[in-house]
Amino acid sequence: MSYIGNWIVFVIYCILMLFIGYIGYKKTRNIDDYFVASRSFGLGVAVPLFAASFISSASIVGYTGFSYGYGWSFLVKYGYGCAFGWILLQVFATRIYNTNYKWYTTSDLFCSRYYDEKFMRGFQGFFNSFGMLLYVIIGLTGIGTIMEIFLGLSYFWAVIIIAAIFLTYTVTGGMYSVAWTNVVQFALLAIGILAASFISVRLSGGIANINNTIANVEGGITNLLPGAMHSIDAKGAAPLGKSIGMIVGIGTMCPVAIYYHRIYFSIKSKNVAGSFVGISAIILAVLYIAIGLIGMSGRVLVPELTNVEQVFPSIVMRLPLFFSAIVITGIISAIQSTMDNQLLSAGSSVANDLYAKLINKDVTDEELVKRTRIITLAVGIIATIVALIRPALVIEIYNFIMILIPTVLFPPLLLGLFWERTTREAGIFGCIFGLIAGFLWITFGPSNIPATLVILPINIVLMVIISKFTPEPPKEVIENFFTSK
Amino acid sequence: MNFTLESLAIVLIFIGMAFFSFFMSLPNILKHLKTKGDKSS
Repeated sequence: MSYIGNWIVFVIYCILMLFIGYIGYKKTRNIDDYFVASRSFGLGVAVPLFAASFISSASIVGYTGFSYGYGWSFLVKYGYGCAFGWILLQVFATRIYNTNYKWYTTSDLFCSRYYDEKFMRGFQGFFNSFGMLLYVIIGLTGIGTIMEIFLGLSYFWAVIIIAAIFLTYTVTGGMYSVAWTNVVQFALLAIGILAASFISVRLSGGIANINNTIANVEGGITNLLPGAMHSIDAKGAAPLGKSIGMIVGIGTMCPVAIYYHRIYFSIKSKNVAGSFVGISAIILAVLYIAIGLIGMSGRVLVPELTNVEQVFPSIVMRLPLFFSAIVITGIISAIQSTMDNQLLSAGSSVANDLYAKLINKDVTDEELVKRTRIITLAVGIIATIVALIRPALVIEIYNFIMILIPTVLFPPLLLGLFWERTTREAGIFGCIFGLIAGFLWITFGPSNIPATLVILPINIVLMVIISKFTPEPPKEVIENFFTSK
Repeated sequence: MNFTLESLAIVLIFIGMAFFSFFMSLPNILKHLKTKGDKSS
């Protein structure tokens, strides 16, 4: 196949991203600009920034694969989890946005709420930056495989080129660059997904024909019973218990994702903070249904696949040249727009929480911008090197972290923001218990019961008990968090 | 569009959840638009 059309569009895309990065660099004058764009974003930036950060390569390649394999139950397994996450984010929104404080990172929020610098700063700094580093590594490994198929690049060069682009604009322009590139990337990914969905549905003879075809699928690579692709649990092939675990896991992951917190910290008003997720939810719901339709149209267009993950590339290859280039740019946009925000979150967490608050407390504003750029670059380079080596251990640790993030962060965030009696001791306990209990459950617990379903409620109950037996939080903290202004 | 009752319910629940999130944000959206309107006038 000829890659020339794809390459032309890709090069134009890269130049555009670097140009936006340059504008972000010129706009960045101090640490407030670099970390949180001087808290200046309105809905026009917040909605695409959130929506683009939300859709990653897993959403596009993974979900099309799952819908190809199991039909409409993909919405139960993944869509409901996302939608539960949007609802939770909406509930948390105006609490995470707090004008009484000037937070840069999630650690700042936890330190303020739990009136503790000693434990919270170090723990949150390490845990969050490590988690984000793993996200970036996994994102980079995902992109390598996609670029190999669409641009004819080797895995090595695909990772190097993609890393060089998003590292350059993220490191130089900080939050301005991340947000502005995300606005463009969101437009590209939305056009790409909608175009791919529209054309694949048309080629399949319409939604009615797709629904008819999948109603008759049985056996095959996912070993389905008749009618399974129209069923809530794919007639047992996608067990409901596991889907519920996934819904809770994805849902509780959303309000504790530190790269979403960064968006709240960068927003200019409480009304915007309380609006952008709700608006994004409608847009994202349309895009997820479109993604599912791409996968299910595969049952008409490429019914003979032996690996469900091949469905998206197989369909894109069938699109006319111009459209395939648009879709590919859309995918690269989706991946980069998630990774840039995660990289900035990792860099900011190391620079603000570990360097400026623990190692060098006297660092000047100007110096901190320089140091943060160096730190973010170093984090990005480490992620790139690990992604190039691709050790199997990284995937295992990543799977651990994906479960540990909600068990560690969700209970302290939930109680901290909604129950004023929650004390420092309970907050510290919640973090440690979530980490140890989550780790033990994943290692020794029954694999058919998700850790989040067990650890979260236990952690919340224990935190409530500890709060009742420890001294009340200071009045100032209660006023700043619970008195509406 | 040849959905079965079950698959139609799956899709509608998903759309319903997204709209629920939207309706939760509606008061803030209206306040935001009002503030913008007041500023421009």
